[in-house]
Amino acid sequence: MAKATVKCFGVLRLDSKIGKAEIEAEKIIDVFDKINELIETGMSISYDDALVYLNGERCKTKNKKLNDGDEVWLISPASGG
Amino acid sequence: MPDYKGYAGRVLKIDLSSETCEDFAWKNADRERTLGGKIMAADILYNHIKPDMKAFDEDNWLVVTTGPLSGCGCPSSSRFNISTISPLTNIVTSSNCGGNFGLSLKKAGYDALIITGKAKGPVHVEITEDSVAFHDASELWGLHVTPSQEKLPPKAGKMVIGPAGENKVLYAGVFSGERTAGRGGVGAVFGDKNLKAVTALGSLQAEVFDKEALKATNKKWIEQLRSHPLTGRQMPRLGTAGLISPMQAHRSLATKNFSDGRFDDFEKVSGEELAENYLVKNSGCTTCVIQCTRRVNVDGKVVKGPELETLGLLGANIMNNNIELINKWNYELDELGMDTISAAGTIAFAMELNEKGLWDNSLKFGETENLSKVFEDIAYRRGIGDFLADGSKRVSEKFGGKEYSIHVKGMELAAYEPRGAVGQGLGYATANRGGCHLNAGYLIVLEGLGLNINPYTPKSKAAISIMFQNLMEAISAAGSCLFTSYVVLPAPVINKPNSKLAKFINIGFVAVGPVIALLDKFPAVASTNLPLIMYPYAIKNATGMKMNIGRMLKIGERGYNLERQCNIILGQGPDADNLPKRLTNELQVKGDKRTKVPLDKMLRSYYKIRGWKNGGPTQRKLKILGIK
Repeated sequence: MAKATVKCFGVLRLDSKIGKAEIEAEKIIDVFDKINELIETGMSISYDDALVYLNGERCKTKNKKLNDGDEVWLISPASGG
Repeated sequence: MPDYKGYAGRVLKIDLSSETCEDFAWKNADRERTLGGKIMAADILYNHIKPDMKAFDEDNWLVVTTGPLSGCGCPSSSRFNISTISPLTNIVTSSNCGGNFGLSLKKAGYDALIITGKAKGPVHVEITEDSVAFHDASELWGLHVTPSQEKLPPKAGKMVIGPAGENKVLYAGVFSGERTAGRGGVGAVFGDKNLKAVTALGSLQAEVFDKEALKATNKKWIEQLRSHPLTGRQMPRLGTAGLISPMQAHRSLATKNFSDGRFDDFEKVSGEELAENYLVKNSGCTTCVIQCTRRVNVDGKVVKGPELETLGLLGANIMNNNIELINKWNYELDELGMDTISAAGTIAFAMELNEKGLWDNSLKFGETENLSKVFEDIAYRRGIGDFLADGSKRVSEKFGGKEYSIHVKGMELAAYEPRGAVGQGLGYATANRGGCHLNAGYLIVLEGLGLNINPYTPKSKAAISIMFQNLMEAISAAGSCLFTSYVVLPAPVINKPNSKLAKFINIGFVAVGPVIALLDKFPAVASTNLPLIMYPYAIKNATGMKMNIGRMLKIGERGYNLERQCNIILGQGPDADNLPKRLTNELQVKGDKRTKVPLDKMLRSYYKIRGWKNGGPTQRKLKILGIK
């Protein structure tokens, strides 16, 4: 298990009320279970719901292993401005 | 044939020099050709402009236009447009606004207003159903935007300028309520004409072609906008400011005068920060169901909050991490009456010139305490403000730094750093009015913000850009907000960006480039309607005009070519479609060759599909489009 920081952005953040969380997880896919345990608003986030970034780079592999100190961003799609 | 419905039916032409007015002929064939809005304005200007004409010539016309959907109950469709020769770019600018003037103009009985001549002194033009009056506006001259509007008839739709327009800041805007026709310096042209304000008041209601059918269309359209994840959820809750975080992720958040695409402190100046800690409530333009406007508290007053562009360009692009300052500056710039994009872009450039020792102006990245005074100095053309008031291009001509003076055709770029979305780079370069993200075709929405097509490949970007440029041209001409177009992005893909369907569509979009190019060349192929795209139904039911997607694309294509031809008449050369060298020659990320804009390659493809040579339509293309 690695200790990682997870940050949510966009409507995922507003809906989950989670801006930043410290979690322990083995792989990217495990992040979602851990985050969902912390959400108290009744919603849940799945891998399909978010664009996932690992240490600033897009992560398209749900089984990617995490290391201590990793930062994971979960971003909801946005429109224009 | 009777006139099409949905329109007020008349165009008013006023001459400020002689204080006279007359009707300007505008017939059914003109409406079929242009719909209204910016294309109507381009059509009118095309038949008027001459090669040697300049923005501050008495003979430069201001053309204020509405679209057929305005005032017909269509959602988010109260926009109006102002086109003229821009003092910033010396080519035609079209500036769009969500204020209440357009609807009021239609209620007074006019689809459009052409303003010619130059008043002898400050003037307020008052338009009603029965009369046009020219009032002395000396008492208004010098007032900020809100106090100016407070002194005008309360029920009237309004257009005013602030001190920046009066002092001919080359990127001064025209304001209607809290909304702005911001880009290209239309406010400076008002100021040059001594035109402080125009008001319109009436009670006429445009008749529609099929009332019941339009009502059903509008109901469906409103439901669609409210239920879509972007227009019904993301935009009302986060506003356009919600883009900062995805832009950071995609390396497309303009940072330190576009020298980078990421800002370490982005979270402090993000849409989430604004929503969680500063948002008082959201609001929107008249008739809008999206309600993307932020309302925030500034010095005890609840005022319009910053849009994405302002947040990005007065945040990351000048290395400022204080969102409270941005809220305040946004209000100050609005009250002074200028475009926040060009003002912020010019200041970022000046900061870099100072950093590099090319211009000792005291402006420094990250040091922002004195900026309120700098904005005032710009509006009143005092000290360094007099240089900054002329925009980045002219500043670079005086002090150097051309390769990192971030403008296209003289207009500063919006907050998207295109080395993280190369199709957006092509759009910026080719946009008719200059460095505008919307006139560009707005590919970044597909290149990482909404969809996730490959942002670095040049493949198919020309074809997709052209399709969106043409479509958005027609949507704007109809009077609709461009944000309504987001509902064409499939909701399941937006809701599930990592799903197999999303991956299939993101790859497929690029793969079908040749098919899109075919549609660009032969829009009649798309002579059909789709349930997701409501505009053709609404236009048909409002006006009685035959309409489908193919016709809209054709009208949009003609409009885009017409604007381009106007620019060529005004002296735009074959090399005008360009980007600052920083964006085409320097890698954004060291060692990552993908992170610069391969403009030449995309441009060749773009011209080929458009049927252009040397930066403009060929004679054959003009003939095909019926542009004489």
